[in-house]
Amino acid sequence: MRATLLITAKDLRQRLRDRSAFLVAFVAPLALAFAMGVTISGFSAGGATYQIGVVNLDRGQAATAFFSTAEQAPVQLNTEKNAASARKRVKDGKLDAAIVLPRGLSATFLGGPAVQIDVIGDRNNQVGALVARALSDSYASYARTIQLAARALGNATSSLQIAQKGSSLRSPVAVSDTSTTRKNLDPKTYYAAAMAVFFLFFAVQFGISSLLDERRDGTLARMLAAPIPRRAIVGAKALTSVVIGLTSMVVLALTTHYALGAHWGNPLGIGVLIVCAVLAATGVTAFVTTLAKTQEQANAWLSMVSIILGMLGGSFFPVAQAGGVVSVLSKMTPHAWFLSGLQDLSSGEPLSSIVEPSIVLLAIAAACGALALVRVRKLIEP
Amino acid sequence: MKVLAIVKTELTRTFRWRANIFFLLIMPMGLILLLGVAFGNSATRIGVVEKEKGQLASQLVATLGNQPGLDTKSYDNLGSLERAVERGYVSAGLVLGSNYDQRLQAGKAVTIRYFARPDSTAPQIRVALESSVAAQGSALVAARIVHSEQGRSFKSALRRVNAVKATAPVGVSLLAAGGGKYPTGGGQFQQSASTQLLLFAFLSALNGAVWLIETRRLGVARRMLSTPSSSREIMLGIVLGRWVITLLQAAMIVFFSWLIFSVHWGDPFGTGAIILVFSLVAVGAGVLIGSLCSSAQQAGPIAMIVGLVFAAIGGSMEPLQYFPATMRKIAHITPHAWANDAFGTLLSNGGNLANVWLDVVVLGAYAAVLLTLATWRLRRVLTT
Repeated sequence: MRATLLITAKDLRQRLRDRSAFLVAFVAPLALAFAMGVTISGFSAGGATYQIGVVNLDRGQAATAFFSTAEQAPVQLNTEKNAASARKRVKDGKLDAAIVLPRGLSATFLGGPAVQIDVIGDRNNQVGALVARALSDSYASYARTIQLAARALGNATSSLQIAQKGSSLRSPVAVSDTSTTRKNLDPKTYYAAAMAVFFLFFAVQFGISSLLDERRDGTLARMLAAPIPRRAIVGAKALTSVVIGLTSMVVLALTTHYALGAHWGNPLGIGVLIVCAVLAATGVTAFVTTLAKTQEQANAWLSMVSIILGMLGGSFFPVAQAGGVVSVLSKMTPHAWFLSGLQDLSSGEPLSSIVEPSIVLLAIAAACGALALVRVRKLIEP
Repeated sequence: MKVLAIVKTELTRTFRWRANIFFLLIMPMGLILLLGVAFGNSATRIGVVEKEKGQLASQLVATLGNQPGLDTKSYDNLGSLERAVERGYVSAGLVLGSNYDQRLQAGKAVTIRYFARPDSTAPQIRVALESSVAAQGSALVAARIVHSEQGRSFKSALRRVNAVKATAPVGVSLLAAGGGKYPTGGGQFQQSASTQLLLFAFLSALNGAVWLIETRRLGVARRMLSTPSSSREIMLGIVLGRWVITLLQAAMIVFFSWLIFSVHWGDPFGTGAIILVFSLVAVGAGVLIGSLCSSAQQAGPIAMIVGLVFAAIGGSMEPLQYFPATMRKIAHITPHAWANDAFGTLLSNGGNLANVWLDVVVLGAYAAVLLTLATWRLRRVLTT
């Protein structure tokens, strides 16, 4: 036991000295959580406003009605001089899309011929184009409503009089948007957690894979010559991984909580999930390490395995939406289980909801750990 | 000739391990293809709970599902829908109450509950929902007007409205800013294949830093220097070797995504130019990191951080079009953003080399600066 602790302490000192552990365990996840935060989650529901240009060729009352139908939408309408300049501004990315209100639009309310609203969108900004199109569709529905009413009433009431009814023309269906009041795992916390667990797989490498370093540098042979049981050496390496992993996760949870405003949820539940995730990461890493022959092989393989598991596990993309094979594969990654446990906790589910993710994580740890133990014997043969 | 010998050595050393072929070439490509299968042509999904499957309720759900890029999925109860939204199985949830049809048929107002995941698709779904609601509302609102004007019952007013021969007084057509019809569909994979290509090519070229340190540590570089070859030849050989490996990876991604998913890669000259210069930028960055770091343990994480952060900021994880305007400007400090812009022009706007020359020049400048710094630093490290 004493030998185990001595080796662990030596490893930790080494890792502290070359600052590599510090980079992987703290700097990288924070940098990436921040980068993902400002790009992906920087615009939560309702946070984004789309800049839509409006070219008014009609110059009648119809435009006023158009502007009022757009009041509810997350858009800012800018008046543009003509279609050509609007088109150019869309192409240059100055506008998300543009809408051309055609000549004769107001006249349709007086029984004039049908007209067409042109929506100009950029192929590289599909969301902007769809938003502008949906706005125009809403307006087309409004025009249809008035036409229907006018025709149903016969000649007694003109379309114009109906159009002036204003608010009574609102659809009887109101949408109550409760997105912001929900206790979802907010993107900030999600990416903080996702990055923490992603880099956990790199952080724990410092323990196990240093066996290969020790073998290359000849220190492993010297340790084996000393009165230290092999178990103690392997145990020490695993312990180093666990210590670095736990420290990394706890520090990241605290830092993102206090500095980035992430809400991780019930501390006890989080604690359990973190311990299980660290064990699983250590197990997987140990297994991959024992497959490699040299340190650089191990490094390359571990990087790839960690990236693939991270991507499948939802560290970068919302894999859950995919369905099919991918969602099955996703469920095989520790990342997915850790994150889903976290999501349950933050959405107010009872503490018992983390039992399943925890058991799966421990099972992954046990299975990979056992395989690693079988193979590690070969690695530490003198 | 000596340069080619060094390139050959680099390639032999890399691919002597079969595992490297798997990890450097097959695995990234497999992942891209897998994501292609998963997200290929998938639409944004909205979960719906219809407490009572009335005619109007079903009509609204169908209208919503017919919106471009949207799809609906039915859930039995609120609890399972909420869970699906939380877990991200669907992007948003919509709840239609049990009296939806009944109230609307009676001319009364109803409120439907809606909640979305706070992600980039949320505003799009919200606006699409509003337009579906407006489309359904047409007849109902008209009936309400008839009801209040003529004093007949709402039911008979609705009958009257439904009997009216309606035309569409205002149509909507979507045009592309570059001219012509706006393309519908085409699939997200078209875009994700090119952004992922950039992510992986850059990341694995940066990992070349670890390899370079290994070359130094094993003394391969020193032994090469002891032969009658100039340090320029040696460095050229090292850079070319890494370049070839990066290009191989890119070529495989292009080829297999075309073969399996018929991803169309646009003008071969334009796309070729972008891939060539971008790979050179990545190799330059990799060699620079490799010459600045002293151990593989340092270089590995630094390569990872730079590779992933640049990809995230440069629009290779979430497309640039979802970024807020300021962020989109900041993104252009990364080579990824320029290359992504160029791919946007080449792949979805059908541009050619002439349309992306600025991107090629900017990337070329990145490559020149990085390679100058990298070779200057590498020469010092190798010769002192």
